Amino acid sequence: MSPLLSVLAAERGLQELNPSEWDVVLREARQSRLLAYLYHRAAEQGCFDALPQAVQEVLTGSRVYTDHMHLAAQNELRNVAPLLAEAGCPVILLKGIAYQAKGFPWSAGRRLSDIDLLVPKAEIASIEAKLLAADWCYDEELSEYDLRYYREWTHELPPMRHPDGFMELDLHHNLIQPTGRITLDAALLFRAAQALPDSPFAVLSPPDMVLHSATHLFMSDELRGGLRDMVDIRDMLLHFGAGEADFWQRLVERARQLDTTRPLYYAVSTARNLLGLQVPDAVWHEIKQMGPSAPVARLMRVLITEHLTPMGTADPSKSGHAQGLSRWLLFVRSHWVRMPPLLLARHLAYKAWIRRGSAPA
Amino acid sequence: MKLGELSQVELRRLAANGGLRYRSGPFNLQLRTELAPFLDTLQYMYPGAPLLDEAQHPCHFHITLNAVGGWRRWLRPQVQFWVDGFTPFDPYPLDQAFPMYEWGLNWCIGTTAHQNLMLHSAVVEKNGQGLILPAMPGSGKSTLCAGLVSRGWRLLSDEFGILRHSDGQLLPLPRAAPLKNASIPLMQVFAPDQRYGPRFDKTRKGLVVHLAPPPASLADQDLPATPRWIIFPRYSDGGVTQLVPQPRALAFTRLINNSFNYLVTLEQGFQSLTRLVHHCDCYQLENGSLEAAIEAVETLAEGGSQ
Repeated sequence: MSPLLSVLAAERGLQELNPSEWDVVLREARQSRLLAYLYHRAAEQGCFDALPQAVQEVLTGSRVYTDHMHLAAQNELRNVAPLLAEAGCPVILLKGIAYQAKGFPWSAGRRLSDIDLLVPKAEIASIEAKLLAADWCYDEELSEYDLRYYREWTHELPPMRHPDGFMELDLHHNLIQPTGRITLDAALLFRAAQALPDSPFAVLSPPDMVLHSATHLFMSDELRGGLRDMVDIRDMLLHFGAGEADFWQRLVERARQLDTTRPLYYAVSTARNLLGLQVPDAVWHEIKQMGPSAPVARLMRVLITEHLTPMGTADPSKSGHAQGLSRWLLFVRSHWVRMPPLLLARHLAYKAWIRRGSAPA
Repeated sequence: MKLGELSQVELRRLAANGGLRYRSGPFNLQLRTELAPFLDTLQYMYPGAPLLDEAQHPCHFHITLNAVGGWRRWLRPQVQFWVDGFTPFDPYPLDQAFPMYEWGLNWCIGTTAHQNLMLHSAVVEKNGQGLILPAMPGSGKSTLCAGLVSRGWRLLSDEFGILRHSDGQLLPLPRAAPLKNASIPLMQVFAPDQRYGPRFDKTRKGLVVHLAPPPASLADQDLPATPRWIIFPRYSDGGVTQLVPQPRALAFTRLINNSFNYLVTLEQGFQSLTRLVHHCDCYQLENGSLEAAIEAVETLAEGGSQ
């Protein structure tokens, strides 16, 4: 078993690792963007000063960088806040910037590279116009096709950036792609959102926060975000589950209401399998019913485990075909759940054509 | 045991199995490669590098350097650089594996080793006192650094001024210094006794020949130095050589721009950089020839150490 997974699942404490196991953990944690996360876990466990010197240095280096990104994100958000407040509509912080605003424990050491915001669909065009007027712009490398793809078929605008800023801003009007088999009524999210004190922004309610992270991970290409996002989900479930007596029941009901039962199933089952999450029996029984048929569930478990397990000490210049195959199957699946078959065929054909066209001779 | 003490067979076996681990300055490195000519160059440039025992020393960086597979290898053989499974660069021509390794390692250090403040500077030392030579465009810091090293100064680094936050000491990172284009024949005439690596034609930075770190510098790589002088060299062909004192506030702002990670290290970076300029005499060194520049620095050092 991957030593990183064993410490993330709390089967072993960080002080129990010997130097050669640390050598593997450092590699796996860097691949998974979890070095700074381990810094904070070691500090919590009171064992940081007892770790090998090289480990302390690597974890500290990553922690310093992450602190810098957190500060940069706060500054960026402060800069854009007046402009967003002018729009006069609710603005919900999503993912990393939301965890940071709430001071959730898993936020410490969590890398974040962009600012994700959710606004009502009716307002997105006027907010975009305000941003463009304030010098925010789109990545010049995006083609006309990419820009149109974002607008017509996704739940967000193309990422924007300010020339003086460090961070990308992603404006969403929904949590999932509107063309998929699952549709989600964004108005429900705004109704349940929680305002932040002394701030023009709000965050999703705890169940919605979990469901967003679950849909984001399990409906994206190749489980983008990977193990780090899975750790977010596990930590959220632990934190909210311990804090509110009826959290699990509200989560299950909310998943039904928002039509996100399948992502919830994958998130909870993976958190149990890989990261040692304890789920109350009655709740797990209910969530299990949200999964696919048994053979599909078994296949998906294998694919997800294969995909989320860090590659450890394997020689990257000779990466095997197993992960390639699981990646391809997950890629096909993610598109299958997001797009109707005809649109999917058109999109994949276009992407394949682009790839052939741009392949170096 | 040292890198230079391994037999060729043993070195290749270790490297192919991912078991080659050695220390470079403050960093533990693990290197996996099957490229025999590259390994020969590595051993030639760093014979004194201490090997590390896997059971004792986790590594800061795990690097793989191998030929790119696929049909293209027959047409145009290329080498790729992996760090912890990522490939941050486009492949290089296969025969440029050593420059790719050196630049790749610099990139790894510059983008992740934020536990220290890192200046883009050469650092040398004499009598326990460190001299920082910040890299500015057209400064000729690499040439001046190589020149001082050939006159007996200890090389800490040709590229990284690594400042430890806890005590403000400069940490050595003695590595092969990539001499470029016109500075190659200049150094080979000026310091013929130094060890030079193979010629790499047409790299992304032109013609490159590496100057090996002197054995004594490598042997003392665990020994930090106390910063004493900051000298901003500026070379102008045939110009007058003179040391001009530089106000500390100006040196401070110039070093902010010279740092790899001043902005990333936030308050700690500010504390370390202010302490550095407080403890150093700062100069601009206008110079027209290598010999005159070295003489100016040596005169200063002799006066300063009395």
